[in-house]
Amino acid sequence: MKGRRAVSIRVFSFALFSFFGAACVAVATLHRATPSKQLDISYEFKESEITLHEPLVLIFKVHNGLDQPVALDMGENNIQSFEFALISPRGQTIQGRHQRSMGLSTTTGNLPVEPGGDFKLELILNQWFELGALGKYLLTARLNTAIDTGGMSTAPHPAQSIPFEIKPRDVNRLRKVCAELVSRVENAGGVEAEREPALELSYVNDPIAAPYLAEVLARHMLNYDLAIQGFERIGNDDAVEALLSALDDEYGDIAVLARRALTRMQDRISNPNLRETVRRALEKEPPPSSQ
Amino acid sequence: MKTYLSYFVGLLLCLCATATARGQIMTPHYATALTQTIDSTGTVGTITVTISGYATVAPGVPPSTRHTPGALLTIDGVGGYVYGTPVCASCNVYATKSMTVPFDDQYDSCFLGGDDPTTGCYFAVNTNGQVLCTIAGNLFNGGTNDYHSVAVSFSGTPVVPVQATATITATVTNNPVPLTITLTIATATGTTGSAVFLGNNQNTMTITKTTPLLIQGTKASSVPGNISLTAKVTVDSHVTTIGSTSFTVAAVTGAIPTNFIQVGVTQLSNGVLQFVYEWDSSTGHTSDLAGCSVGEIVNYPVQSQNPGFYYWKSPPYQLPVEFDFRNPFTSSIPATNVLVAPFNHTGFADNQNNPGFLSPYKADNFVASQDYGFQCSNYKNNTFTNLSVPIIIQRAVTQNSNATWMYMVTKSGSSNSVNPLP
Repeated sequence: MKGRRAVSIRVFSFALFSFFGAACVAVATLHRATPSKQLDISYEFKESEITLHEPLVLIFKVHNGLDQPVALDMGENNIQSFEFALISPRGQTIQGRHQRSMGLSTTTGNLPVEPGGDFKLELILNQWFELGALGKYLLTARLNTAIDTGGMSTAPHPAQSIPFEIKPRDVNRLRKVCAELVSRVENAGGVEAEREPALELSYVNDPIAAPYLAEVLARHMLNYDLAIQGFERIGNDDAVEALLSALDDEYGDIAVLARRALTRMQDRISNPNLRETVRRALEKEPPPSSQ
Repeated sequence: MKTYLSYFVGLLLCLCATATARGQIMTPHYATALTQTIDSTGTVGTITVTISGYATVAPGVPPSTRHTPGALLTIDGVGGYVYGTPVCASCNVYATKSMTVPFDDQYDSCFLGGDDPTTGCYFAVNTNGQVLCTIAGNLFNGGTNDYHSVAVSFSGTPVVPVQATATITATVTNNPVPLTITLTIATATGTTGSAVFLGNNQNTMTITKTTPLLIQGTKASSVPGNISLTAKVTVDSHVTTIGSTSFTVAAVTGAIPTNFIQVGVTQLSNGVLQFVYEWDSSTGHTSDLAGCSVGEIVNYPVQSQNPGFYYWKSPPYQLPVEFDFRNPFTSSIPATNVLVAPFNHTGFADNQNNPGFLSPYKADNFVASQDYGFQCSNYKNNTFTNLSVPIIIQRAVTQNSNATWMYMVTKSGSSNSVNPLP
């Protein structure tokens, strides 16, 4: 019975892929049949090929071909109103984590897109899913809020499905991705521009990322808090060692953030010697957290 | 007791709102009244708030529906609600609460028609009348702040650059007379440090209403935060401090955030309370803040069994995996972030959220302490520098008199609730 269900799920999954593979390719665009005066909403992956543990970046695109402005409500921090679901390589449907409104938000309301205007937003799907298995997936993407086209009218924007495949872990490729992200962080020239590549780097959930995260920390790039979060996610011995070293860093609140991360990680450090080292380090007097 | 004054001053009729509960319509006709009396000796004043009235009920409202009136009265933050007897939906409700204050030169002007009606009032009186419905929730709210004291609050400008200017907004509340408010800059501690008001180049000036103050740093502080800015009023020879802040005068290379101020608060669904804050740049150009972030540190009660986390009590709260239980909770955004209309200014929104609710409900009450601050690569090696004094966020789940439960979050004098809990 169990086996039969698994087979039927696989058959269903295959059928879906065949359909969407032909229909969507990499880009799914609404209203293609009507060439003008339309609102085009599409999703596409930033990279055509994705290997295990890379950050998975989806680009949300809007082109306003209407004669009037439209207003997009993407929720807090421009992510809360997106809903994603995956059909995994094993045929399971996985709902993306609901993005709760926690902490500070960069947004308070609807974002206008003027007639003829375009809007593009990069979404790091690792915020919604753990993507730990190889194989072919089908992503369903949807903005769960109405798009205001003026007055009482709203534009339809049904869910769109985009297939993708995660290929085997490629150490060289991961290193290249990490190095490029560090380079983008370095050359960004400000907190706002740094944030996206730093966030992507923090979601490279692989020990390969450790030295690159350490570089962001050591060079005191401004989004070092994201590097510390990345270490916390990786959680292996190298990550713990890096956070222990960060306890002695006097720049900004690096030591404070590292201390908090180690406090939260204590229970999942498997190496008993390292766990003891962390315990002793945390017993020492913490540094001041503010002026 | 002799009734020296008895004014029916705060009649708030609510005939307009219509509450719909599950398709059943109730129209409230409630009023909140505030009265004041002074005893025969002329030394004790009594303030009383009363909620009364009824609701017009359309057919279909269950006969079991109950309305509970609540009368809120606080003086200088002390006091609270008194709830009356639950009655049927169309029945008359009644609840009242009284408190006394010493009546002397310092306080008498708080009473309308007192011996010096042109003066201000130096204690804060908050009143509200509330009616809670078992099916429609909070059916009516009507209060008055006619007797709030005149007060001044200052925006967050922790650092004023030497030989440059920074803005501090002095927000004046409840000054209808208006009283003249004297602002004074002084060196409170340490050996050196000074600043003046740009314009008159003096360390004093007067205002009567909300005013952005341009402060110029003239000499660097010997110790952090040693320059005080104080607001005072004088009534009947009494000098009363009605607000104060402090800042540091320091050499600053480049820009830092200044003039951090709350500009909005909204009650969102599910008991979420949203605040909006804005800030400026010490250079006058917010685009210069590229090397800065503005953030928060929220400290929850310490749970020794869960270092690094604060798990909300469950029940009454859910503990969903996607909720961030880090303790302290920290987050930040780039200081160049510009909010969309109607704000169109550098700022952020901050939602006081909850993880959801789980029955069977149990009472719970806890506070968190929140600090806002900035970090700039060009100032003190990115050290977190406070933009605000600690702000208390209180969350409580309590049982109503009709056995239902309610959740309430309160911060900076604003609150939101889920009542009753589902």
